[in-house]
Amino acid sequence: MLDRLFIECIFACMSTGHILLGLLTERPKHGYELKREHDDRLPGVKPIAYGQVYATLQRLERDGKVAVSGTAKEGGPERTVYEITGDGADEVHRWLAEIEPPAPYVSSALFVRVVLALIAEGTADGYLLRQRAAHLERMRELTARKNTAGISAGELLATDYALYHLDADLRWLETARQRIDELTQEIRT
Amino acid sequence: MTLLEARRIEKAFGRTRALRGVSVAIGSGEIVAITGPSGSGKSTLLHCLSGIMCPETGEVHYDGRRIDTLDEAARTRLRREAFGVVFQFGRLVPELTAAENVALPLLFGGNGREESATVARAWLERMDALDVADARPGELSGGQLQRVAVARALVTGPKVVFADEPTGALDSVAGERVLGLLLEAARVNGSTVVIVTHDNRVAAHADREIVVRDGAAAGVVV
Amino acid sequence: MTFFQVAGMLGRGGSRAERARARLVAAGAALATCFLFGAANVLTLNGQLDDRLGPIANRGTRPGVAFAFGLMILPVAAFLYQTGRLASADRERRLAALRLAGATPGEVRLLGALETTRSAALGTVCGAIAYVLLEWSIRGLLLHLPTTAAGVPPVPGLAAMALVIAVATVSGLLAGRHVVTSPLGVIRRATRRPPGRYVLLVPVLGCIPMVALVVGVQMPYRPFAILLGAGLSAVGLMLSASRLVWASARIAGRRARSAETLLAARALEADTRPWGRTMSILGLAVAIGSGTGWIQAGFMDARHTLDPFWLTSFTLVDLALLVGMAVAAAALITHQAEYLMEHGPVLATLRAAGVADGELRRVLTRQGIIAAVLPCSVAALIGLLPLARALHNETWALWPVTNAVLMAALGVLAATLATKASQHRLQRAVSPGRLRTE
Repeated sequence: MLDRLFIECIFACMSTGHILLGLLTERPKHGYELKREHDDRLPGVKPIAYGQVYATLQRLERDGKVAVSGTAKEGGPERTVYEITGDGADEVHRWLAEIEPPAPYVSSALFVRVVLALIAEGTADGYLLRQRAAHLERMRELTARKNTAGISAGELLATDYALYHLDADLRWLETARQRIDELTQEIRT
Repeated sequence: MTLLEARRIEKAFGRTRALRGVSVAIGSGEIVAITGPSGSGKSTLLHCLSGIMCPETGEVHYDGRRIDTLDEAARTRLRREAFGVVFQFGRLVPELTAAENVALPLLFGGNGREESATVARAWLERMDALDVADARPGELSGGQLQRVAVARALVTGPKVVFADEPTGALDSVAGERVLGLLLEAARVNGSTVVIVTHDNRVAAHADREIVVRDGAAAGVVV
Repeated sequence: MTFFQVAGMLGRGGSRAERARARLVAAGAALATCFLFGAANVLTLNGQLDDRLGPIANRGTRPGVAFAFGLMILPVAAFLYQTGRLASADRERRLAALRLAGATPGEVRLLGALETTRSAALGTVCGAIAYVLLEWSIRGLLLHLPTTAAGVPPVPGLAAMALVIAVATVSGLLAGRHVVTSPLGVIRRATRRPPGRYVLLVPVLGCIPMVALVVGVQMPYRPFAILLGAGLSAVGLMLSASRLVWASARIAGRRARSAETLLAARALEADTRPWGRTMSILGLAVAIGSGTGWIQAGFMDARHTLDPFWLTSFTLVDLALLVGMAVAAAALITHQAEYLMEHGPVLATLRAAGVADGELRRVLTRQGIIAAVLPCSVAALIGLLPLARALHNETWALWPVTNAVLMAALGVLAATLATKASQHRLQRAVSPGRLRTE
């Protein structure tokens, strides 16, 4: 049973291909433009490498989701401009119609520490308080960032997302503290 | 510099021991969150710190003066002159307009009607609630109520603002707005703020957290 | 489980406050029974009695005394209604659980009326026994009259008791009207519009024949016109009391310099009718009292002495007015309790913010003063109008004027004392416990 709970941390399989296709629905764009828009519009998502943009575009072109529509030259080197195909547009809309699987997300690292603290030290109280302090400190930083002037709406939402997840962890920690006796018993038997 | 301090205070209601020897120290200009699960005694701690009630044992000091031994009249004077309070649901006087509610502490302080009204309106403007100045509390949304309540708490320029679950009845966007306005105004005033909350996202607005568990401070988290 | 079993179960439970309120209803019913018995008793008396009994001794004045006894029902009815209203507001909070369990609002209201009926029935029986014992002892021990003849005939007596119980039940049913309840408790009391302004015309109309008399205009059917004028003035005064209270609350609210006056005036303005009901009775008493000043002055003017008959008559009238005022003002105590119950968390918050208990007490007192001054003054003035030209010696006019001022002051004092009497509840209403989320 415990093994089942140690579910591997599920990283949301965010497909770069879908993101690029989505950005292309506005108008044809070249690779550098796509990288810049990716990073600007999705703050909080790991910045994408230019090489990855290029590779993904080539894969999409091979699958017939995008096509080369011309070249652009704005001061710098000449760049290939891609446009989305009918297939590609269908793919984006199909993808948007899906939902993210609401995975049974267990913050495995926290859980492992609580269990090991109970096994090795007989109490998890100290750990829970320290973890709470660390979480709250991070939440304070994020809150402060939210309160800085001129923050974009996108950044605000991304920060909120992080805050809500930290908050969920904290509430789980508090519940863990209240359930610690049951857990101790379960581990000892 | 410590402005407000509780030393090993205990308080019981009948057989329930709400506080079991809590010690906390709050610095001048600090924004502190008192958190803990329901029934942990955090509201009682706020009531003792703000001189609304007195602990049975232990001491409460404000600005170098012991306040738990003062009589009711002296504590009332202290609350009027140095403290402001915000509770859940606003608790505004239902028959008065928003502006009159905000002016009330000034009127009780002996200020004139017109002068109080002017100051009250200025505060409502700071709280982004000037548009509801002439509305009665029954006509206001939860967020508007709390912004008016915050204006009422700050209108006298208190040294310490005590807030008990100020955003408890609000959704998170409205709550954040109230909290943001309260803390911003308090920073400008140089007021110390003590917020009781069970909401971690509210606690994250504070400089520091005091965790209360089963009537005792379970480690002051800096 | 049947409906009546539920009613009985709920009747046994209940808080200290509810038991106190049940006793108030019983006391009101007992008082009403006594007054009705008094009226019936006076009407059954035969022949001329000792002059010291005043208007009771004289056959011609007995119907008047009976009518006065009947009038005494007015303050008692107002008192019962106010008590019932408070009880119903409180009960509906308690019975919200019943609503959750599926009881309809009608059933909850019926339960409330049943509780009121039970208290009223108890009070009526107690009142009847008390009256019979009192009358028997006065007749036998003080007046040495034969005690065999029944004081109150049984049929009118029983009818009076039934009437009191019926009135209490109906007022219990009516009292529930203003409270909007849901299964989750009292949401808020239904908002009420300010009392209408056109009722003010009625007393003005009533004053016209009397003013005409004072300035010496010749009138056809003079006695009839004066009677009509007096009647219209009295009824008009009662009808317009709410509007007068509302008007003075509004003026006071606009011009208030202090927080206490502002709070008191606005609370009055928002909930005028309970005050209006009390003030209509207090005002009537003040007007009658003020009017008796003329009669007294007239007698002193004409005879320069008071025989025992008139002395007893005047004393009895003053006594009746005092009792009426006290009962009417007592209704304010229960109303103030309702105000404190509703405003407890708000007042506790003000107290937490540094408002002293003394200041909160002043809010209550000023409600009484603001509510009473205008209606009582108007009532005293109306009472001064009739018979203004009946004196030979103008010096005697000093007495009615003094008397009118005294009566108005008495009315204001009664209202203020009533608010003082409810101040002991303040401490509980604003305790820090009320700060907690409910």
